[in-house]
Amino acid sequence: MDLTKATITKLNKDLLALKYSAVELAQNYLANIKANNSKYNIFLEITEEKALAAAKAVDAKLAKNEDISKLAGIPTSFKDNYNWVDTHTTAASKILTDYISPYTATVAQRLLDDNAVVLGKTNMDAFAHGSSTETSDFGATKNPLDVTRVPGGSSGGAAAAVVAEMSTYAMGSETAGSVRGPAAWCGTYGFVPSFGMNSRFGIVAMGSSLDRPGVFANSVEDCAIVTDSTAGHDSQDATSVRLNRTEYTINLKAEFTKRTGDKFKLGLPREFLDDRIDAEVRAAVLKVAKEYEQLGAEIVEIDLLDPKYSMAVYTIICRSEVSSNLARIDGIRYGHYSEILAESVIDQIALNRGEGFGNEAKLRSMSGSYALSTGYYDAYYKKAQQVRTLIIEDFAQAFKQVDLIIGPTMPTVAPKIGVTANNPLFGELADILTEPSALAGLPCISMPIELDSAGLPIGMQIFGPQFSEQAILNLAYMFEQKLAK
Amino acid sequence: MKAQILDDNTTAKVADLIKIKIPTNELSNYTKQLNTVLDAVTLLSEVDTKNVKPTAQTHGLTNVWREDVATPGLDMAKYKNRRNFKNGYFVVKKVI
Repeated sequence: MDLTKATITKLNKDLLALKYSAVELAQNYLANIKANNSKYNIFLEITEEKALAAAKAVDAKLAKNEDISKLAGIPTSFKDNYNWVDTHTTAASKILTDYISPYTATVAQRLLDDNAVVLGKTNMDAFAHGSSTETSDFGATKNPLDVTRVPGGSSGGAAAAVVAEMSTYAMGSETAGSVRGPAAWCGTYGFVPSFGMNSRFGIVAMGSSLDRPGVFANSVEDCAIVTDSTAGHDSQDATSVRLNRTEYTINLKAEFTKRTGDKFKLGLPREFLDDRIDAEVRAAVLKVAKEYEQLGAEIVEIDLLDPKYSMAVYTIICRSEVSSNLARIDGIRYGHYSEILAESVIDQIALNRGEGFGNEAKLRSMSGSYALSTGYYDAYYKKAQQVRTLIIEDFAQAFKQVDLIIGPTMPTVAPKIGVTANNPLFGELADILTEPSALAGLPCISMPIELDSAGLPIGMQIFGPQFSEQAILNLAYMFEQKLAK
Repeated sequence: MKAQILDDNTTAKVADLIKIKIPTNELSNYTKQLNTVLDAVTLLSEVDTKNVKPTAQTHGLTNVWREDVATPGLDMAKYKNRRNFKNGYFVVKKVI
């Protein structure tokens, strides 16, 4: 069975044509996982039994000629911060090594309701604190395209699973660029709808005003199909937007989607293309801009607030929210409990947390706690929230001039393993081009546009105003259908 | 805003605030990393934020309510993380 760059669309057709069964399809992926997982360290848990049971149910439906959803029988995986009942959900952290989910995340449940075949849980930076997957407490994931390089993060396992043909599509999440980044460095599509479109319920919380589940896939249409299943209002997430389920797939067209005006205007921010960006990455993005121009778009150079400010705002807001979210892990109800007996309950909790958390979780909790503490709150947290307002207003101004914005996803291609050592800000710095749109909650996609001279993928991102998902998908679809080599 | 140069005492205070026990011999390592982080965000002082309202959340939904109807909670009988659970309580080691 050839699973190279397999898409949901194709496998769905094959299943309907009874070319092979859903069980056979799942077995093919599982065989590949078992043969190659030790090479890349992608899966933390393989849920073979559950996957085969789900596949069997799909085959039974097919045998009875029942209608099936497009996702029925298609193998996928969940990032390890997705709660899925009766599976380990560790968020790749040692402190939650033994944690078993008592319930299922909404996004996961919606896919399961569509008869998705979930093969397991994928590796990530512990608690999603990173952009490399090197800070997983269970060892780094290696980039399947070049095992000496990182896959990006924090959803590095998810991106790698798609590239290594261990999932047709994979679910991840991003707080800054944790979907777009690994998509760029592994050469897949990575799509994240506006904040509030995909429910956060059941995803281990990192930065609650920023966290967004998203998808990795081999095609734009696949991103649309999955999001049509996952997105829409969920009463269990107070920040879930009150919008109905989406219809991105049936409305997918390879054309410019104008908001106003006669000509489709594509913004190219100067600040995303200056000398901080690798020359090959910059050239590749400019080439695609030129090609869109030839197809009829007007390219407009724009100025945005320098992304260095977004980096600082993101660092403060995210870490503050992390310190609050990780406070729930005390080792009493679940999580690591020290062998040493402390003198008070509070001391016991501090001991459990001190032993259980890795360096990055400790550092982020401490920096967040400091930024929120009396005497420093106004200077750090409030200041960051105010600059966040300015970033949102800056985008609002930009979207008066242009329909959508494009730019490089990451400043470079995938770096070598070991890059995060002694760099307490690697994640924030690597994500500098994804942080502005993340802080504004804007929908976005990263797509693989070219290989650099070393054969490594370059990712280009598209983002637009809140709820402009269709226009973004259409523009990406246009690239895929008309421009991709 | 000026970079607050933390010393190990402040680091110890922050660790206590967030209830993470850091062994004394590791404090300086965290102080160093925290200072790097705090130094990297000082550039925000360049931005004029006079009269700018803070943003806590991007799509502006407020007053999100649901019907006040009781829904079932987690079934503790099926809760698999309980190491020691009696009469509806988590049992922890004796603390004197």
